[in-house]
Amino acid sequence: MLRYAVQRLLLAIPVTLGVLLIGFILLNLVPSDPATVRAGPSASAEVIAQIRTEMGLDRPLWDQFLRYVGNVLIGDLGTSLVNNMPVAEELSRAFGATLELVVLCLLWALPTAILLGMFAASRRGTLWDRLIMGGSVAGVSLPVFLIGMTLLWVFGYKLQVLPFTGRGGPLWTVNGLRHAILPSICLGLIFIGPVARMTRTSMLETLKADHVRTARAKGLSERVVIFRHGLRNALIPVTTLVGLQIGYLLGGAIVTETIFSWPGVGRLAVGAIVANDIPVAQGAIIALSLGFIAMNLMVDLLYAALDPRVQAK
Amino acid sequence: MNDDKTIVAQGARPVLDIRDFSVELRSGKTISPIVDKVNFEVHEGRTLGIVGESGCGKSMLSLGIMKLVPSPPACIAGGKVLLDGTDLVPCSEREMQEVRGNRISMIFQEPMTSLNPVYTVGFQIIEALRAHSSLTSAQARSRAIDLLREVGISNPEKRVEEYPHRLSGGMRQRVMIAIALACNPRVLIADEPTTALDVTIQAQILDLMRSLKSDSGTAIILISHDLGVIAEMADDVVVMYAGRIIEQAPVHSLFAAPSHPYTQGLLGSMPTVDGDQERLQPIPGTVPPPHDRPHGCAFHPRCKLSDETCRTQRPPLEEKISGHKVACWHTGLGARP
Repeated sequence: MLRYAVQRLLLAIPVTLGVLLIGFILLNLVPSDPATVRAGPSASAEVIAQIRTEMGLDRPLWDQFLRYVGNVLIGDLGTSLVNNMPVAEELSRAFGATLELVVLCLLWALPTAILLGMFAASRRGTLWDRLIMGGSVAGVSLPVFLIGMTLLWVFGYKLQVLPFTGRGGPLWTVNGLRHAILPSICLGLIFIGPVARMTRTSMLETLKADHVRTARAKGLSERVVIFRHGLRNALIPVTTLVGLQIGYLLGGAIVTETIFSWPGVGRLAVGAIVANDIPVAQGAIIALSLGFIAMNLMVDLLYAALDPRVQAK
Repeated sequence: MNDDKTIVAQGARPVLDIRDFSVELRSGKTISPIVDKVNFEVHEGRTLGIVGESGCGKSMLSLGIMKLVPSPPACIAGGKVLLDGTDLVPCSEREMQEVRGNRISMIFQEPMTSLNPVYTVGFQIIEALRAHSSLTSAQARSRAIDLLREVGISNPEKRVEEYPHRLSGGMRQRVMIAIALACNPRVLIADEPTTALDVTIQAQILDLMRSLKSDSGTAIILISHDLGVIAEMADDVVVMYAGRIIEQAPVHSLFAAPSHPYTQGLLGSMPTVDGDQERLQPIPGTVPPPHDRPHGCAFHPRCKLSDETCRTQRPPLEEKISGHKVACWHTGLGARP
């Protein structure tokens, strides 16, 4: 297990470097000059040239990239062109807010999705099954902004039971939790659909397996058969999907965060791109990608823990 | 294959007595019988072989005895399964859980997939032990190691921690046998236990089953389509066709004088070592599907003896000579000249 974990961790390094490179190149392709943005609209050509030299923008691209990677490694992501704040500081604050939302979303949506999937599998072909599967299609296909706006309109505006803009403090305070409820429901609704569907399919497949018949032939109770011999095996493919979905939640939170004015990475990235604040945009892209990579690493490890055959390969 | 034993056993009460047992497949309004009023007995320390082609209802019969038929669409339609005199058919699911793996155990055809890949071999044996006894986990573990040793697995202390994917097919089938024997069952149902294995491994597994039977007195129901395996292992044989028993006899009598044209066909389609047959004689056609069984004798479309009676009337299973029953208008007791 340890060897497998180390192997996976080492494999994540080239992927991370790739992400840094792509992020760097993409934002260098943008027709906007960071020196001009920093210097402001009324600066003279000399000032801009001087700032360009200070920022190292006159050096060759590869040199800029190596310096950038070097700085990233020591935790220096540069400073914002707009407000001169260190990017790392802004990012860590925003990332915390996004993570808060994702965690709250998972806390309710993951068990709900798995239970719904199992329930649908056990009531296969009934009205319940069709309702759950129909709902999951709706969750997958309705656009996030529509779900978000509807929640906001119903609970925030019409019923006025929950606040719907911004963050109300840390999650463990009442106000913080109340502010996070609507955006986390919005995120959760798009998460549940595919996960419930996958759980159902996987569970139905597993319950047909020979080893489940063996478990029954041993005289185990139906509860033990379903949870011990069905669910654990059925969750193996679901794990992969959940990992990918969490990755999407980190990035896909952009729309949700914008609707609910949640100060997370997604909103930071959108703001930075609009304001041509390249260091911040770059930092946000890297943070989201690293989140994705970390998630995948966790899925790989969890996968190995769930299925002993994986480590053997 | 010894006659004095047959006589002794016939006087005693059978461990398992199956009477008019039927399993049906229900889909929508169509009801198709898969197992149709089957009768047989299994005695302590003896092996009953059940033979037949794929689709004849052998596996459904064995799952039916355990009340494990996939329901829906299949269901037990009637009859009795008397285990030491108690009928299992009316038992509740909870009562059946007490019986399964404890008094009747089962091993299956597919050793590669019959064990759960995510749990160790030891865990899966211990689970069976603890489902039916109050052993502590340490006791169950040491019993699991003993069981692995009994079924001929070397280094059982180490193997007990292995996952199934690290074992070969033969080893996994041994583990399945260990699980089945964990609670000293009265009856062991082996559904094609060697079909998926290499010939040499097959012989080892059959040897193992034979020695376990003589050690523990467990009654065995051995389901196979392989007549060689049946000849080797069984004391009595039941031949099934299209959900019914068409011939039933002690093994020597069946192989010496197969009476039903289908049994004759099965034996004729088997290669012999001395090879005086020019060609193997296949039985033309296939087993009819449950929803489309012919009237009269189910075998008549494939039988070269069939006539008008065979097409319209179903032959009863009747004793031809002592202990040898057959259901055929032409070769059975009621055979017309």
